[in-house]
Amino acid sequence: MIFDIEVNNVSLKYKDFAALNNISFKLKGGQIYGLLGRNGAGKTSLLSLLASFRQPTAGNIKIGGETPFENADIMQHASFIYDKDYKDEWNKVSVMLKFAERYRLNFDMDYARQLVDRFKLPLNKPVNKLSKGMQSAMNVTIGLASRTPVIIFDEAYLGMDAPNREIFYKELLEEQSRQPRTMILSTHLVSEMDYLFDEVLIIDKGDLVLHKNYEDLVSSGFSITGDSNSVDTFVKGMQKLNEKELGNTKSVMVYGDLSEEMRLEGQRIGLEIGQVSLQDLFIYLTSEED
Amino acid sequence: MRPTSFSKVAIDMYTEQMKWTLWFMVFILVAQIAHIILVISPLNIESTLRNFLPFLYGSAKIYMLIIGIFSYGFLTFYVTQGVTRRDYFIGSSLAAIGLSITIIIIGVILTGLQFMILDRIIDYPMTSPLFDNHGFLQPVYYNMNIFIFYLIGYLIGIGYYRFGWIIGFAFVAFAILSIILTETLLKSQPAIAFTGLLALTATILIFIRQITKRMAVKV
Repeated sequence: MIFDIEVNNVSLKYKDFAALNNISFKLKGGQIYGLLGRNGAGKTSLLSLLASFRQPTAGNIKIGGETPFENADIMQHASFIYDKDYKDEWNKVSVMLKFAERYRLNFDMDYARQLVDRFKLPLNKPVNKLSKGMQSAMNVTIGLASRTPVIIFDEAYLGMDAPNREIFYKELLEEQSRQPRTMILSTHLVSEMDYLFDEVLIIDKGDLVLHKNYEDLVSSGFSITGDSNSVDTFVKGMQKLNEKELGNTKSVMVYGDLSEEMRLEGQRIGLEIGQVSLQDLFIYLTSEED
Repeated sequence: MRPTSFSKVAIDMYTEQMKWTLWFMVFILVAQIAHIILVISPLNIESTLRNFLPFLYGSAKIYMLIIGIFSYGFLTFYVTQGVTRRDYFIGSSLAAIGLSITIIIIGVILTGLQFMILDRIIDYPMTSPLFDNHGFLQPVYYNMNIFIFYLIGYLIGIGYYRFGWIIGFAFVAFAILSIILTETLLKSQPAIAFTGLLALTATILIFIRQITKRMAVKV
């Protein structure tokens, strides 16, 4: 079962604060989406809407062609894994897995046990006694083993150490190849996770500023370095993301398509043309007014 | 495949809350036994000994109010598990009805045992009759009333969760009024008491449903 997601003119207001402004996008089922945005950009608000944790103030959402909110046929197929406050959760990890098994129809307990071993999760420890990283590992275990057609990980790696994060990413890709699902990953660890994404969405101050295929996106950012005057002439009319100058040398990061002729022309006049990482693009696309 | 239905929520919430309830019942039973021992002991302590059912009922009201307050935690849990608010509402209400009935049935059985056993072995100075002013219907009223106390707690819990502290106080005020109303109704004629309690139950249930129908789960 594969679900597409459609978000149409969605806005969300908390009293006087606009968390999301008229956002629209479509996500094809069975792919991994990276949702990037700075703190307070509206990522969790958007994901809460997709998970039916709340309703939009305006606009509508469709998952598998249906409105998900209070729709049992959709809600049971969508999981939302987020940084939950477990200070009052006295149940053991094993009990939490059993809960998930009881309510998530496709939950695979054998797979959950494998993940428990890989993350070295203590099954008999109360959840509130686990370290933050271990709580995250438990969340990720439940999320992956629930095998819901739509799965949302909202900064699910918080507190996890580097080896466990690696396990998470690896399992995520393996799961996706075993049984493609619609996965949405929100993250700040852009450089670490970018290879996971099929498509990238960037939101900033409640607006969707970008939605693009990952390959296209990283091939639309360039750094042009060379003699200041030549660089300035070359980048005229292009969308500049960032400029750095040292003596007579300038480096400009631009966003947009660069034709083969332009590229050759740049090289001819002695400019160095390099690729820009998703992390750099993210930083510059969301930091213009700082 | 069928989604999680309200019956699953009802069974699970009943089972979970019954675990707490058994502890509560054991505690009340021990307190009652201790009371009886003190009254009939050579210490000859002056105290009014009531039979078990009214004694249980008095504490069960507060107990149900408190566990009702914690109900909202189940709502966030269930929505996280992909269960609709509607199924949660129906399931949690059925679980609370089951809980109320179970508490009173256990109470009636233990009171019966108290009469049968104690009457035969000791001179038992019982000051309250088995059934008060509502006769054999008394357990039914007890049952309705502790269910209402659960619902009142439930309403306070979700009121605070959804609206925060300040508006939450309005829910406490409503709760106090409802408690006064139930106590007044219980002293009324059976027909009035029954109809009144039923109407109050329906009103609170409607409030709870309206508040939780589109309630946001905080992240």
